Amino acid sequence: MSSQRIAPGDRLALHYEKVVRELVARHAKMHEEPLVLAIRFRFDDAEDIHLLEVIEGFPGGGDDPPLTTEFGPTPEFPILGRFHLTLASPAQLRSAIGRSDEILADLRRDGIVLFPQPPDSTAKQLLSGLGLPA
Amino acid sequence: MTDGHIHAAAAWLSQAERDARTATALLDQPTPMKTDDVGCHVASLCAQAVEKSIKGYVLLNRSAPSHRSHRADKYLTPLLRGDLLRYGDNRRKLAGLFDPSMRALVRRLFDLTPGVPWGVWMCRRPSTLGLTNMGHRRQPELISSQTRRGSRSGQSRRGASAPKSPSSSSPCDVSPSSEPGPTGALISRARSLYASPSRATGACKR
Repeated sequence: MSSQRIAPGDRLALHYEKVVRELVARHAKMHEEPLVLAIRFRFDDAEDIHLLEVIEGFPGGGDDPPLTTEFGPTPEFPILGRFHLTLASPAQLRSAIGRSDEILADLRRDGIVLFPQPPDSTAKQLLSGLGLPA
Repeated sequence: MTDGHIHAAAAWLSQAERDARTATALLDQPTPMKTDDVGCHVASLCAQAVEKSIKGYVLLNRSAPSHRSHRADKYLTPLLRGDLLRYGDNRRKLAGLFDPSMRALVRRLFDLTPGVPWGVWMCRRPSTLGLTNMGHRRQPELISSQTRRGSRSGQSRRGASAPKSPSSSSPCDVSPSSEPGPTGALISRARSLYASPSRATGACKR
């Protein structure tokens, strides 16, 4: 397909798809606090990117709610809007599932697993709790 | 960067410096404080200083720190990865400042300041805190007594006190004269961390 035929909105979506996958691929290579699961969601937000990363050894107690923080564009992550990054340890995500935290509705609506592909046993277990297909 | 971000970050970083100065002053046990009063308050102020420093940097990075979480060490995970840093040349500085040993100390500091009386927390989490290396002895009687009273009356974190023998050391005792251990090292590192506040505010000059 020629790039001229792609609508501006679609071009942005393609760019976002590329930069998010590259970001997750970089994070998947981290040895310290290894990435367990990455889910992109809230695709209805055209300008912003929403990503959940579950990280082994993420600080805080097992009952802590997942931490959501916002980032602006950076040279390595060029986007138009804001990047909403939600971070949790596997235990914190399980607790969030147990509490039916607000974020779960967004994850279940349109969440797509970016890592690991294919999901391993830990990821499958968490996805099952989230009600998302492995 | 907007002036609003700089002003907001400056407020956090200034308060962090005040907390660190106060913690340092408390180490000298000013009147009318007693030895046992010092440790938990110094640790608490060190935790406050670290939290506000990191959140101040988060703001300089034009990110939004959560007011709901005091575990500012959680921000270190995305910041140290580097790809979300607005100023890429800060990456090496941050990695040097928060090397694995410092991150472990910061994590331990936040674990030590959980928002409940220390005796209660240590009773719940003895293995996590590595009590045998704390440089003081546990007092099972004191801890269980605090736990019972705290759970009944919902005491504040600093409201717990219990009779003790003159020769005993309380879970709060991290006085300068106590045996150097991980907690003493932590405070020393925290003090050196804030010896040069400009390190944390370098991004302001850009």
